Amino acid sequence: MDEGEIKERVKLGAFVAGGSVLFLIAVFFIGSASNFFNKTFVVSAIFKNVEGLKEGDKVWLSGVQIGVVKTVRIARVGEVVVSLSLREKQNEFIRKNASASIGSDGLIGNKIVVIQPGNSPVIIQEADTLNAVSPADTQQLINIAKEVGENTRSITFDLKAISSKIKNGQGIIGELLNEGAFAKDLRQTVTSLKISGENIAKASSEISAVTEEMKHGRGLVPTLLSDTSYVSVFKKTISNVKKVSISAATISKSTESITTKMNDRNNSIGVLLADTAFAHRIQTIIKNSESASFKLDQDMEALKHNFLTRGYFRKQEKKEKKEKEKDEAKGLK
Amino acid sequence: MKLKEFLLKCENIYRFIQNIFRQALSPPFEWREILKQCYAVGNRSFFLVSFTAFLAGVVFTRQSRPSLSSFGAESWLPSLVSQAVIRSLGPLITGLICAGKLGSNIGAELASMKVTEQIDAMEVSGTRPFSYLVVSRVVATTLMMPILVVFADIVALLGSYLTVHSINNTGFELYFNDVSANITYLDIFSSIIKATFFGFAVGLISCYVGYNSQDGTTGVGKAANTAVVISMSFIFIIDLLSLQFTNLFR
Repeated sequence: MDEGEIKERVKLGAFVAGGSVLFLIAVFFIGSASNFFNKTFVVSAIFKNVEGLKEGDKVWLSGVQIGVVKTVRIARVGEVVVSLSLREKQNEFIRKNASASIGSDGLIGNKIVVIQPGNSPVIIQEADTLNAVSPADTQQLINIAKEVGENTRSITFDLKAISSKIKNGQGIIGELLNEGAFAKDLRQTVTSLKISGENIAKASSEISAVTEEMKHGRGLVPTLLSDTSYVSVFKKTISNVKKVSISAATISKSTESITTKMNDRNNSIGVLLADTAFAHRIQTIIKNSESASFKLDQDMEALKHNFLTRGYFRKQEKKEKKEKEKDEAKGLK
Repeated sequence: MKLKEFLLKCENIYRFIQNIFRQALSPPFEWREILKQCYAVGNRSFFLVSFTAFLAGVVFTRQSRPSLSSFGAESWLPSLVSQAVIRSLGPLITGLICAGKLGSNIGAELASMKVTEQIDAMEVSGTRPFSYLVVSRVVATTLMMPILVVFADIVALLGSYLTVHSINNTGFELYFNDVSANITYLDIFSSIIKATFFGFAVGLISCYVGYNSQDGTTGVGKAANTAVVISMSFIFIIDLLSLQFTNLFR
């Protein structure tokens, strides 16, 4: 065998060995990914519908792949048994009451089995059965979508009717948007409120000023508020007011007694106030007195002009005139 | 007349295949020639196959990325490329390159030996020309093609990784974890078995065309051309058949 042939054979050996090693590495990595070289344990879950789950699909626990779907078989109608091959080291995280559901790896990804670990103190064992949560049936989802669509349509019709009413100025919102009576009332109310607010602000400002004046001013009230010497004066005043009120009460009682007596017909004032016949007589007497007085006046006037008595009256006039002049002179001095 | 010729040709091919199996499985074996042919088929085609596979990996990744990006599924790129490369692209590229390179090489070599009557001389001298020339080449192509496919797959995935890394800065471990998570043993073994059939087909067709060439020196070129064309056609036919067969197990 010549040297060239040996070189060729060495190169060929390297080529074949390289290819074989790469092949074995590929086999090992693929085996690792599908738990081929790991110790595994098998559990199962019974679903009503697996939504296209197939052998080799991934099993996730808390978002980490811990195994693969080993087999999927229909036990009977509405009962699909799914065997899951899980890494043995992961079983400590899965409890007896763990549940399995079917999800999707991304929006349009492959189906996956998602395990909820559960909270039981007992961990899961080989050949146990997980509680299965079956996915919603596609037809059910379609029915729900249909129902939602119908509801949306109904809501749209209602909204259309409401918007039409609003547009035509019906109802409170319609009146508001279309400057109806309610809008005008509201606007007036707002204006009134604005004016009231301004007045309140003004009053508040004045109260503030008064308060300030009471705090620091020199009037009666600030003095009363700030000067403590007025306390004794006030006390005395209040005491006097109290005495006055007691006296007033006594007076009130006396008045009441007098009033009672006045109302009584057994005394003269009572007769005067209450007896109408007596009052009538008094009226007649007064009238007669007026008549007598008038006549007396006429008699006196007649006496003034009588020659027997005329001198007396003239003396009297002169005397009065002199006294009047004396008084005037005193007033000038 | 033509039908008769066709049937005779079928019988001839059948005898040819029968002889290959008979002499490949029964001693004496032409070990030195087999190894020599393995070197010629494997080592001498390695660079060409690897270069082509690398470019295929890069191109396929770059072309697939925009479509996946539009779905927001760029993370599926390793999965898509690995499945495409290992299931189909790797074996197909290797098969076509080998069909072109080895088909023309073997076809022309055997045809020239045939027209120069070297094969007849070997028979006269007591050497077994069929075993020495045909069986060694068919065995070499059949054995070397799967190894070339393994290299082609790895190099294509490497090209794909470098492309993804240059665009998304994806890590080596993440990329190859994704690749291995989405490839099954069925994919790998079907690919290897398919490559074996490709190798056998290329060797068989090239050797048959070259070994049975006629018409003197013009027959040499014709044999080389026929070997390449028929080998490539059979590559696609075998690829289709293997896909149908593999789907039975998926």
